[in-house]
Amino acid sequence: MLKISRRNLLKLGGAGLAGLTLPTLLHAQAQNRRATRTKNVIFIWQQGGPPHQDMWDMKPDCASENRSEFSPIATALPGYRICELMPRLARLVQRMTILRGVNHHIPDHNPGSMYMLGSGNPPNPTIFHPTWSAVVKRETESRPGIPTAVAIPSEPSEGPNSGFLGAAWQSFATQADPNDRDFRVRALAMPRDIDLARFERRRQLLDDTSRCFDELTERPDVLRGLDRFHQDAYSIIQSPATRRAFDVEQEPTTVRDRYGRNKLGQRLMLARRLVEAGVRFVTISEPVGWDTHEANFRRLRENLPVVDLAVSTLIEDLRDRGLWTTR
Amino acid sequence: MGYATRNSLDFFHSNLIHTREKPRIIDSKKVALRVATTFLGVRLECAQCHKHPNDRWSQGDFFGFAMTFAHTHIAGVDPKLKAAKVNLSGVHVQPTPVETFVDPETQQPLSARLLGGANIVVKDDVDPRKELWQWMTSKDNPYFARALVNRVWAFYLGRGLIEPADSQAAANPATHPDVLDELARDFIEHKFDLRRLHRRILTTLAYQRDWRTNATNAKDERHYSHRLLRRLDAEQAVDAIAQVTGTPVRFSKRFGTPREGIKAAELALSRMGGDDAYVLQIFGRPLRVQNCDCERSGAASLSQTLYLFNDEKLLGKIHDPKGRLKNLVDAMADDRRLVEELYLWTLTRYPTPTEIDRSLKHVRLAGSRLEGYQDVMWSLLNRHDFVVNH
Repeated sequence: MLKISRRNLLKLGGAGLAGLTLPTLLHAQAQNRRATRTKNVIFIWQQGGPPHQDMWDMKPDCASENRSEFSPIATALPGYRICELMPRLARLVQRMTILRGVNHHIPDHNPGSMYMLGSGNPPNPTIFHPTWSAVVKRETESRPGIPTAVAIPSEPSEGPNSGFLGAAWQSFATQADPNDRDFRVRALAMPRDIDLARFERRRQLLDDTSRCFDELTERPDVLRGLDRFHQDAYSIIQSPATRRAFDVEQEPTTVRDRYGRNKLGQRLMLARRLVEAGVRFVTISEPVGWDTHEANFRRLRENLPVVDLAVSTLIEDLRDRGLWTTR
Repeated sequence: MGYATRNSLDFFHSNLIHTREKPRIIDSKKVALRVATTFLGVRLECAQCHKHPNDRWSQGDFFGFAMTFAHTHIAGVDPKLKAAKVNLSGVHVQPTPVETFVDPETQQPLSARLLGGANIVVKDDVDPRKELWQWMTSKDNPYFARALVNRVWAFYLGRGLIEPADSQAAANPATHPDVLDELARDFIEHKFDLRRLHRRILTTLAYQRDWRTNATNAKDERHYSHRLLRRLDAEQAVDAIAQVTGTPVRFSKRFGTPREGIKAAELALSRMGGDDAYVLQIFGRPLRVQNCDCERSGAASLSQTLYLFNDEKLLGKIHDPKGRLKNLVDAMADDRRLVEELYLWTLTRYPTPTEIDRSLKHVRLAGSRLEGYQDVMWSLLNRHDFVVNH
């Protein structure tokens, strides 16, 4: 029970993610593009739930047997203190919206994850609600050649993924980890020995002959997904900008180092590149598990400095590039 | 990662708890969960912490069942061997359990117990796991036969009579209980003959239905009124591509060299390296780290489409100078027959006259005859009716 109530979302980007406001926001944006600034989301899923009483809400006045082993430190906001293991984030709190009331009472891992990932809907045995990323992909206009939603390396397996919306609204998964030396998202580029003219002829042949299921009046989910992915694949392959965005080797070494040469750091670095290139929603599955029933403090001593460096660097990097807005 | 720290079913026996306080043991609770899901089609996860919300299981049921596995010592010397002065450490069963669970309601220690059934009295020469197995395979067991029958049915029909297929529960009844009862009865009567079970399911009209729908059944997904369209499973996709292109599957030698000509479907290991391991991954082969049939994904994804469209390794299989396509193009001068051959080999049907004409036109306009047929094979591999089982 305790564990689940500790489940928390680290929220970046201020897109009004908590609660049911997202579709409303997107709708408003679609209606009046000039009035609403375009916003993008980098969503970090920390499986297991980081313990906020050891991070953002230290409760220093509670009884010593319940209190965190760590000490609170001052932040840029007078009177607000956070964990001593997050000194860089402490200097940036005035740029964040920290929600301390996100909570649920589901006493089981999987439905709990379904709830937190399922766009704010309680899990239900008869219907899978979609993830935030699938809702955004569904509700925003897609831009040719650029996937609307990307997951690094994939959507959290304990979540509902695109749920009842269907496979077509899943994020594009990089599959590989940008911290690996030979990281590469496969099949984004046109192969060397196939030129554009030949590719177009092939495509025409495929379109003219692939009519097998046309007679179905109800196109099942698998076919709707394939239809969509065929369109997406054609346009992505022809987009050098998308290919460049995924090419982390183009990022200066100094910047890569600033994020931390670890899985989380490099995933966030790639997320920034993707948002710059026009991806609207990036999902990061955090590599470190936060199911810290056992050895909580030892594990936090390992995990928190990594988070502190990577997330603070992301915020500063986005700010330097004019991509960070707090309103 | 070292052998002992890998956390997957194929390294299952190494999945030990060892701390200074406890002897090296297998976690009985995990074994109980896995055995229940795999062999009984019953999900006990909820009953670990509280009464199962949509089934009959209490915490006492769960922990009693877990005690069935708590008598298995995986280290230390079997007392019988010790008495015979054979000082050999190894897996053995003892009347004294390695760990004991108490009933959370009464705080009384629990004995080993069949799921929803009688206690097992563990003595010398009584292995509770053997008792469990005899119970599972007894004529009146309500779970084992039904779980296996339902899983085979789900494999072929795309949907279990009980769905999800690993979730027999009081609140999750079968859609067609008579069918499930009859198949289970027959399966038990024929001493769990899997071959017979597969044959019975494959010869049903339900399995043999057409995927084409009519006005009355287009929306049906649960009454077997037409065949459900499904993407090929990961192993099927890898093997089908290998068969179509006439190139061997490629897995690395990390865990020993796979036998030549092996199929992906025959590989038991869950962790593999090599190029086709990537293909298994994107087509949703489970890593076997979760205790759930749902770990296997049958959803389409952009990564799959990009692979079939555009991956160098996939194109390499089509263009392979030793591959099937090059051989056919060299050996067959009759273009019409060559197109027929490619259709038969890829989609197991003859091309329609329109498909033949369209393909021949493409080959005529291509840079070379070989290039033209490479494109034809590429288009066949990228068609919905190749990757969707229908």
